[in-house]
Amino acid sequence: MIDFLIICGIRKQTIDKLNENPSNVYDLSINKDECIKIITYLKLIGIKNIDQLLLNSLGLFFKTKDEVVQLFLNKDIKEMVELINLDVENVDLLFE
Amino acid sequence: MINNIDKLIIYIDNKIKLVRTKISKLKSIQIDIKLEEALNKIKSIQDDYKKLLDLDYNDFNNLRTIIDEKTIYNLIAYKSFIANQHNNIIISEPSKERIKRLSMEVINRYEIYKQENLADNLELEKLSDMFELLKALRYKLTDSFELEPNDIDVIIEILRENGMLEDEIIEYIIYISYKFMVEVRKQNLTDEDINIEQISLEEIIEVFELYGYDFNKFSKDQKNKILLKGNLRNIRGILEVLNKENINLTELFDKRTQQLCEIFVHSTPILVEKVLDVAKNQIKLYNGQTINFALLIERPGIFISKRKNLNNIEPGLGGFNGDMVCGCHDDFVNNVNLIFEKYVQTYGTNNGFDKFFEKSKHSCVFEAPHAKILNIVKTLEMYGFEPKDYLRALSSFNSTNHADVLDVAIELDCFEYVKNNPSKLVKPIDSNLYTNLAIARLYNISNNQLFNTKTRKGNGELYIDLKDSFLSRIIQENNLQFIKFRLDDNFESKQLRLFDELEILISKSEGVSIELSKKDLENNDSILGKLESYVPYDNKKVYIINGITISKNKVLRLYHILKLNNFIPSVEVILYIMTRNSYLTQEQFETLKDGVIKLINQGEKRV
Repeated sequence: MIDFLIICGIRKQTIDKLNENPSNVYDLSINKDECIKIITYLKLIGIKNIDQLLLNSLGLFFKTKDEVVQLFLNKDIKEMVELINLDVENVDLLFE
Repeated sequence: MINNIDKLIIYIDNKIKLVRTKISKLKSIQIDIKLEEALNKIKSIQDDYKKLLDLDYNDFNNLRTIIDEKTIYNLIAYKSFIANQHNNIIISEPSKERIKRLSMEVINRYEIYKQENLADNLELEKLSDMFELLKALRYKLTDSFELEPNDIDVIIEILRENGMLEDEIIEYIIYISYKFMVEVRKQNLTDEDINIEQISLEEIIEVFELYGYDFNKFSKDQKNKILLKGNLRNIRGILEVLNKENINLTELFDKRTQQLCEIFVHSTPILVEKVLDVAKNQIKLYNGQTINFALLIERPGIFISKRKNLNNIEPGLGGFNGDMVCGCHDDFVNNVNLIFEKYVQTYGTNNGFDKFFEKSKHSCVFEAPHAKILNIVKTLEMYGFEPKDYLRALSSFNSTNHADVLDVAIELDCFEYVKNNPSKLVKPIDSNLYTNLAIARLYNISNNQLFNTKTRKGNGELYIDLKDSFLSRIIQENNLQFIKFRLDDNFESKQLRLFDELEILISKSEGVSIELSKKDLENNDSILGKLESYVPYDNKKVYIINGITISKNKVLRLYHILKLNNFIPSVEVILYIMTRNSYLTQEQFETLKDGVIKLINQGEKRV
């Protein structure tokens, strides 16, 4: 159901890990289009650890791409990208 | 509107051409073999200046690639000078030295030239890889239709290089994803999908119109799904419940139709009502008039009760495939109630829980299996965490081995640090953080050097933080490392197999209590009873045996698992559970082993 993540460049191990929680998989598959857009957007702004982001902050991928863009626009995008690349836990700052 | 990948193929072809040209250019300036031959002759001059005579016109010509004309001229001049020696011209010692110096200059210049070409070689290697990758990508896009994980990064890069804008790239990737998923989608269709419609189109349009919505906002697939699998009474009931709470779906019909479709097909009015009740009364997503439904619809699963496998497609390995629905309604309601209770217990009020919910939502803890969340809370509280500690970073609940991490933290004397920074609970026990701390302990770096006290933003509370750079700098500068003792070196294979069995039992005993082990603590003849005298007065969380620190909770909970499974606690097994995941060197392991053997066999107490 979330095999589309492979096409987005997500590693098989990450998908296996996500598959451990079927309700997450189901909801993610419902948001497939937006999820692909979000992953592409994150790649475009320079986020490198998207696999880790999926495991740590899956909720980000249930949003719409426009909502995620807005979260970054509320902050200094460059700084946020650096912080998230440094440590995925810094994604919490997006929601503060 | 993007409807083909021709543009991308053109971009790839252009890039292939470009890379091919670059490769040809680089290949043309590869190190010449003839130049190497000339240089070997130059090298021999270092041993004997007369070897200059071995260099001919072609050699000097080849050397021009790397050295200036003046040096070449001087070398040629010296060559004729040596050649004329038979005319009784004597070459002075300074001249001999000068010949050697000149040849050395050529050798040095050649080394620089080689380094520069080495960089070119690396570039050539990189370009060749890129060439192969682009060729493979082109084949995948036009023939095999099977993309691999890294391909999308290359595609994005190519689109970006060709000046495509962010939104265009995103649209393009969506198109490509669907093009390559089309086979998967076909496989998911079964005969059931062409069954007779459950609802008539007129009826459903009418129901939606009654509440002010346009059924045609759903896509063709979504409409079919509702007509085939929906239930009119159910859909009407859901719309009525939402209407009663003044929830308007108009905006959501533009951007969340897929989620709405799932709710209308798979939820019920009772479940929607329950979620709205929780949202209104606990989460307080209520502004006095209506509920923030947009936040809830992100996870349609919270409106759906259980897992059901439509189309009878068997679950796949490690997950499931097919058109499967898996709700998490009960987990969501129970988790909200549990975390709400902990929140009120901590702050004495439910004020701010709405913001807390919104902020923590991305960690997906509210939708996780309730049993898992309960186990984590139980484990953290067993280790001395209070709700205020773990509510600070709910994302730490995404990890599954909290007890193991906390045991390591206790043994490395950084429990308070982890408690103050619960996000560190997700760090694996072999992560840099814990390895670095183990090194710090080994080299007696004090806590004052490692940690400092900071003031938390917002509430001014004091907390302990790690001076990260200090530790990594010391480790880097002194090239320090930790070499852990190896189980294989210290136990026989029979015992190692036993430990493997024990590990299976441990993995099945998530959230195990330590209560039962506590009874043994009072029995002075039992191992746990004997160990009690190794608990220092100023730290009740550990045993200190022959100077080695072991987490007491680790021993208690693993001992409990042993008992539950009728495992005989031999010396080896006790040693195994004591040292499981511990950062101990071979020497420390042996020191501990001596202490444990004495403790078990002779019942000796600490002096």
